[in-house]
Amino acid sequence: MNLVELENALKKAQASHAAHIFVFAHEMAFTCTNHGDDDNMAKYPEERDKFVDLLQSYGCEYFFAGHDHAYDWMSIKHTKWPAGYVLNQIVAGTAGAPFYEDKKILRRPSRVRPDPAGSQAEHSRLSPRHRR
Amino acid sequence: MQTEAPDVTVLPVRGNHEVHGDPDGKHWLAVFKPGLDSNGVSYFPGEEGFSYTWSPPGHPEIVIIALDQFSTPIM
Repeated sequence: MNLVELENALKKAQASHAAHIFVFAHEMAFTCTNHGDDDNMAKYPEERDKFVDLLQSYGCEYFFAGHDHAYDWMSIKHTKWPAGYVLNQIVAGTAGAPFYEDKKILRRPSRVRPDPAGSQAEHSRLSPRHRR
Repeated sequence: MQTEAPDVTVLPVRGNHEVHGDPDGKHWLAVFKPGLDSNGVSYFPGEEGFSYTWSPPGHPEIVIIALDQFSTPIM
C-alpha cells in the first residue's frame, strides 16, 4: 500500500470539499474474526497506525474491507485522536465464499489492544442466518 | 462495467485470492481494467488498474478510494 499516493488522493478529496470519503481495501486494519494479526494490516502495526492516522487526519470515518467471510463493524477510537472522531472499520466479506459457520470464531473477542497505543474498539457483529 | 442491476457501478479491488496465482495482475487487468476505465476512475500513479479514486457522477462530495491488495509492508 502506497501511503504517499493515498495521502495525495485524500488531499484531492479535501480540496474538492468532499463531505464523505470511503476507503476500501481487501484486508482489514484491525483483526476482527478469523484472519489473525499475522494475516492483515495488524501484521505491521506501526505502518497500520500510519494508515489509520492518515484516514483520521483527513476526516475519513469509514474503512471497508473483506478478507473475513463474515460481517463485522468495529468503531475505533484513539486517545491521540479528537474526542469526537470514530473510525468505522466495516468488514463485509459476505460475497464470494460461504459465511463462517464456526460460532466460536464469530464470538471471538476483540484483539485490538487498548494499550499502549491507546486504541479502543467496540464491535457489532452479525452471524448469518442462512447459508449461501 | 456491466452488472445485473442497471446503474450499479462495480468497483473491484484485488485481495489475497486474486494475488495468488496472478502476482503481476496480468489476468486481473485483462478482466477488470476495461470496466474500471469505462467507470471513469482516477488511478493512482503507477497503479493503473489497481488503486484508484472515484466519485459518483454529479456528486463530488462523495469520494471513494480503492486500495489494491498489499503484498509488502505498508510504505
